[in-house]
Amino acid sequence: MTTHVHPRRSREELTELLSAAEPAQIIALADTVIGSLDEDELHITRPPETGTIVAQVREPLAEQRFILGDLIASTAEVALAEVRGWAMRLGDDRHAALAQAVLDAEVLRAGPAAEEILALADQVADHRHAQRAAEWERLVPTIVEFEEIA
Amino acid sequence: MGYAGTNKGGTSAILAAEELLRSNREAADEISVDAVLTAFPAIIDRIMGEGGLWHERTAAAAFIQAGGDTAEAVHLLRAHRSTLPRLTFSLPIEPDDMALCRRVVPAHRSPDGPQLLGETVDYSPRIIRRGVGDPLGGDDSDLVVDDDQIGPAKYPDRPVQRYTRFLAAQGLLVDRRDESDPEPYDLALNPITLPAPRSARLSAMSLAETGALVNLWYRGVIGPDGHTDESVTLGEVRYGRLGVRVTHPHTGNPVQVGEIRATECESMAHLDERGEDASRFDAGYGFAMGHNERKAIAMANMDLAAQRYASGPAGWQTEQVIMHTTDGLAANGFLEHLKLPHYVTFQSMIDRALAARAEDGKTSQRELAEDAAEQPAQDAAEQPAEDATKKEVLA
Repeated sequence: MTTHVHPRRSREELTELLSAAEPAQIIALADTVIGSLDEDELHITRPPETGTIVAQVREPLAEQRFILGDLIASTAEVALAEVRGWAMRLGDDRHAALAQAVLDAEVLRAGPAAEEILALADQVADHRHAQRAAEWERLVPTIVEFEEIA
Repeated sequence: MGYAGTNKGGTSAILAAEELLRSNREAADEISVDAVLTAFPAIIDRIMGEGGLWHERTAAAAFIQAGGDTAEAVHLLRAHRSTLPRLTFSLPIEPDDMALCRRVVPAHRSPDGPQLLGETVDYSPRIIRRGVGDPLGGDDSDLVVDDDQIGPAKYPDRPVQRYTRFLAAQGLLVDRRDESDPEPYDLALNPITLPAPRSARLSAMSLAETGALVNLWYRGVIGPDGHTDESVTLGEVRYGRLGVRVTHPHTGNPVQVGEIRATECESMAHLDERGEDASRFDAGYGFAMGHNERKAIAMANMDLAAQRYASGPAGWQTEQVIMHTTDGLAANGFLEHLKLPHYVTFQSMIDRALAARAEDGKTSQRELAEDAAEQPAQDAAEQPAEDATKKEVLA
């Protein structure tokens, strides 16, 4: 079951889209959010940290899991007016992870920037969809139907 | 600087050697990470896979620092990896979810979904190009173009059935599914043990040096008599993007936190050897970070061999070689250490050789003494020659 933070977005969808957003975009939005807060409303409950996600793959033959290796990722957790926000994203950008956690909390508490953050999430979703569609369009000419040659 | 000699001038010589290398590579500082990522994606993917660490920019920085030496770049990446805390485990990455960028099914002409060549030069002759243009002088307008262009309507962007599922549906594939879902073996925290669980083998091969795996596979198919045994067929070779999901710590639900690129392969063999079920095929699996088809293919074939012959000496040996000899960091590290001073150990070998020679001399003396009565003159002549040889070696 997913947790809905908005009629059109679950919290997990929001995290997924914000983790795919450009760092500069979310950092700028987070600066706006932080600028609108009272001094004691923001608490960094888990300082931004870069480490690894241990990647497991489920191979499709025996459906067994194995460890592929490590993926560099950054994470952070904040409380915004006592509403907890969390972020994790691939890469070593701790600044972006902290900003993403702030945006997560801002949407959860339905703060003044929530709509703008959701609009950014929509924009990322649209961009990803368009990017994949364009990629497929470029790939289709490479589809081949081989004759029997062996 | 890692090795500080304690002999006279050792440290300053090591520093001077490093400075010499640095000064000769000053121009490399102008090469940006972005330029490397654009120009050399294949080597960056290989370094990440063998380093066991996904981060393109860090791998590119390692490549630049290593002057293009893959083994050194992998070493740098592994060292960096060892400094990073583990934040969490991903939920299992499901290869069936791959957004395809390339997919070929050599086993079947018209599988479910497309034969998608993607970015490749596999099907064209290549020679070195200097400057722009085709060095073979060909012109695309001279080619016979297919009349029937394939459009996106025929092949929409959708998940496609992997070929082994087709074989399984026909009842032609050995069922190796394991309902117990065992915890994967963690090679970063645990030593290699034999027999190794399959998850350890797959993990070791995903980290293995690409060339080592390819060589291992090639050694298997080219027998000692030089004859090729090509009894393995590839079901799928796929390259694309996969989402990485973790458990959200606040909601407990899966959440995607990014994407990686990966290559996967499944290979199949007809079980037609004595004692096998000739009505079925067995399959092996390969998976590599980034775009590295050679590694994924070799891995799939070695996984298949290790499973197929698991109950006999050939399988045990295959597993042993996979687990103990394919890690590039270990192999290259051991090789490189041979360049370090070995004066003491080698001197002890010389001492032992001299002792053996002296012992041999004594034996000879005893034998000669026994013959002394018969050959006194010859015995007297050999002893000075032996002493001279010993002096020569000591000198």
